[in-house]
Order: sequence, then C-alpha cells, then structure tokens
Amino acid sequence: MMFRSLEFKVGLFILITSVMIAAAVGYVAFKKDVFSRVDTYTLTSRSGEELTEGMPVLLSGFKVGRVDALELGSDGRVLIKLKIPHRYAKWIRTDSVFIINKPLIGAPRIVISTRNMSSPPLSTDTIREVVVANDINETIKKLEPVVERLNRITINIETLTANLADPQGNVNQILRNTAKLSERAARTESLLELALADPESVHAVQTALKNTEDITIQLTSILEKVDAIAEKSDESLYGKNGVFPSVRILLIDLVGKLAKLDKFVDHINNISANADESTKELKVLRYDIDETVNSINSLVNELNRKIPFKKDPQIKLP
Amino acid sequence: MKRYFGLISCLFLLWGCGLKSIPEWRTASFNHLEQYKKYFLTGREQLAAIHFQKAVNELKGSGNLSLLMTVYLTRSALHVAILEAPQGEEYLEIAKVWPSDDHQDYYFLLEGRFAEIQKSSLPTSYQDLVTTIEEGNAKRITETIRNIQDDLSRLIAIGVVVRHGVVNEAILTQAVDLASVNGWRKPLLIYLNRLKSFYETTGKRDQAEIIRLKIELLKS
Repeated sequence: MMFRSLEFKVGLFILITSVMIAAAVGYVAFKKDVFSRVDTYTLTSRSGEELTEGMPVLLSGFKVGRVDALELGSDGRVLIKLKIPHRYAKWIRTDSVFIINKPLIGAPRIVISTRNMSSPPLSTDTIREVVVANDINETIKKLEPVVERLNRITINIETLTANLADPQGNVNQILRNTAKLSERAARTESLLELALADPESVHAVQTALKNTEDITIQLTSILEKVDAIAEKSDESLYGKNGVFPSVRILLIDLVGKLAKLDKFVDHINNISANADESTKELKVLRYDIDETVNSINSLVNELNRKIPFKKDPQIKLP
Repeated sequence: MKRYFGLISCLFLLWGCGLKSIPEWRTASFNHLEQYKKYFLTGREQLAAIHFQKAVNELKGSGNLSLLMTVYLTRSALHVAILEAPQGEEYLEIAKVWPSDDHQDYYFLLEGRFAEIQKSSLPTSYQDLVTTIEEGNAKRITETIRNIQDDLSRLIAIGVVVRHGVVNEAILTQAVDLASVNGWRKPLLIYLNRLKSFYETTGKRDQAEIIRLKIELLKS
C-alpha cells in the first residue's frame, strides 16, 4: 500500500514538473511571439552589402521584428524578407520608410519610420525600396579619395623638401629651368621673337601665337591651302621632292606640337588643384615649349633655305 | 607646243635642283644682325644685345673672321650714329690676327682718322664724304650726306661728321627727320637734344624751347 502511495507521488511530481516546464516554455514562446500572427514584409535593395539574416528591425527605437531571409530577385536586386508580429502592423503604413542604418559603431539595422499614421496600412504584398543611410561611413567613403590625395601630396612635399637640399635634385633643376625661362621671357616680348629672326615671320607668327588655339587653327588652314595648291600645281615645284611638300610636313609637325602645347597650358591652370602632378607637368611643359620654339625656328630656317627664289643674305658694312 | 612645255619644265626643275641651299648660319646671323640694328635704334637695348650675341655666335660657329669683323664694326657704326664713341676692341683684336684693308678703313672713318683712309677701300656711299670732309666745306658735306641712299648709312655719316665737329642746323635737322621717318627713337631723342643745345648756343631760345617741349612730350 505504502509502495503504491510512493509511486503515485513520484508520478504526480513528474507530471506537475512536466506541466510546469511546458507552461514555462509555452509562456516564453508566447512572450516571444511564437504563437502570435507574424506578417512578412518584403523590401528590395540594390546591394546586400552588410545585410544579414536576423538583423533587427526597429520602430521608434524598439525592436519589432527581424530580417528573416535574403534572396536575390529575378532582376538581380536583393529581396529582404522581414518578419514582424501582426500587432505592430498598425504602425506600418503605406508612407512608412524602411531605412538600412549603418552606424559607425554597432551592428547595422533596419529602421521603420512612419510620419503619417492616418495613411492606409501597408500590404504585405507590396515590395518597398529600402533607403540606405550610411552616416559617417558614407562621409568617410567620400573623404577616402581626398585623404588618399592628401597623402600623395604629403609624400610629394616630402620628396620636394628632400630635393631642395640636393643641388642636383629635381626641384633645383626645375627652379633653374624656370629661372632661365623667366629670364628669357623677360628679355623678349615672346619666345617667338627670340626664336625667329626674320622680321616678317616674327610679325606673322607672333600675332598668331597670342593664343595657341588660334595658331593651330591658322596653321591648319595654311595646311589646307598648301594641300589645295599641291593638287593643282606644277610637279617640279609641288611634286614629291618639291618645296611645298616639305613645308607641308613641317606644318603638320608644328600643328601637332602646338596642339600639345595648348593642352599643357590648360594643365598649368589646374596645377593648384593637382599639386602632385605639378612637378611633372612643369618639366614636360618646359621641354614642350622648347621643342615647339625650336620647331618654329627650324621651320623658318628650312623655308629660307628651301625656297630658291630668296637671295643669299649678305652681311655688309652699313 | 607640248614638247616645248615639257622641255621648259625639265629646265625649270634642273634649275631648282641646281641651286645651292643657303647655309643655316648665314641666314641666322644675317637675321640676328638685322634684328640687332632694329632693336638698338628703337632703344630696346636688352633685345639688341641678345640678337647681337646670337649673330656673333653664329659667325663664330662658321669661323668666318671677316664677317665677324663686319658685325663688330656694324655695332661700332651704330654707336657712332648716336654720337657715341665706336667700341672697336673686339674688332681690333681680330684685326691683329686677320688684317683687312676694307675693315680697317671703315674703322678709321668711324674713328674720324680721315687722313689714314684709302678711299677706294670704303663702301662707295662714304667715299665722297671723306673727300668733302677733307675739304672742310660744311655745305658740301651736308649735300653729300643728303645724297647717300641708304638711311642707316646716312645716319652713320651724320654721326661721323657731327663727332668731327661739323655741326649745323641742316645736318642736325636731317638726322632728326631721318630718325623720325624710320621710327628710330634712340637717335631721334639724341639729335633733338643736340639740336636744342645748338639753338641755345646760337641764341635761338624760342626754337630751343619748342624742341625741349617736343622732347618732353616724346619721353612722357
């Protein structure tokens, strides 16, 4: 009898314990919305970067749901499935905005912002575009190229200061070259004036070279004229080995060089914005100007020597 | 007709090919010397100095001492034209090594050593001038200068005679007109100053005042 009574007591204990465990689990599950109705909302995003399953969904700072799944849609966009208990649905309206917030510190989250509570409830069939707010990260990303450039400028400045101490360094060479160029420019009205000695040529080309673009256009038109003449004219003068084809070749060369010079003049205007490029540009510009001046000079000399109708210039006592 | 045309074309081609091309240094030195003259007379001395040096460098490259002397004497002549002393040091150094009668007589002319000149060695424009200077007739000198065709030669001749002490209104006025016509600012101001001094010393104060005002206007 006593044994039976003991069995009963143990059985009762196990039953009560099981019920209590089940009740506790049930309570926790109830509290965790396991039994409540859950709505699934679908959002779409261009990128799934930093999106993870289980990511919290916040409404007014409270967690109201989570990201249940991430899928790739037929159009290549990322579909974000949100599980939100039905009891929160009243706050999710058609004018609600879903924002992926990526704070500088902490995990990324989806924030629901509803301005107008009187607008109709959002249907779970509707697919809404998610907005990315990247806070400081966004700013840092924008600043990254700037920082990178600043870093390069700093390296350049370090190189320049190191070069300053070296008499054979690039900076000293540039300064010497610039000084020479300035000296030449100060002594002459133009580089052309220095390069060309023939007064008529100086006048013609000097006027044109006020603007490299102008002269390029002018020389191109001369080139066209020479081409036109060459088609019509005498083989002996304008033939393969004649005077004008040689002039034409020189002009083609000159037009090309002036076009380059024009480009470099533009670059010079941007030097302040491109500090890291400036040293290289100045060097190239200097060589290019020299090359162009030499080309013009040799063009005039070639013309003088190749045109057989011009008299041999004689230096005589005045 | 077609045969003749072909023949003429061939001859033309042969003529073109047969002509020698002019050496680069010759063209360059000539052009630089011309530029030097222009800039010197217009008062742009820095540019003039650069072109003069370039002309000298070109000729030094060719090794032609005769032409190098010509260039140095040209500079001396331009200095005489503006009533300065001829700077003949470089010429004299070359002349020691490479004597040339033509250059020497021209140098004597610029120096005013007329008695040492062999007139036949001088450029033709100056041969009569030496004769008239020796005669000492100011009117004849003025006329002889007026007959010189080249403007620069005429200004040099005026410089020579004025430096020799032949100063009169006609010669100075001729120099002023010459400089004015050619736009030679430097000799213009120098001869205007000399003309003003001439009027002042000869008691023509009104004319001196007019010249003074003219100079001020030109300098401003």
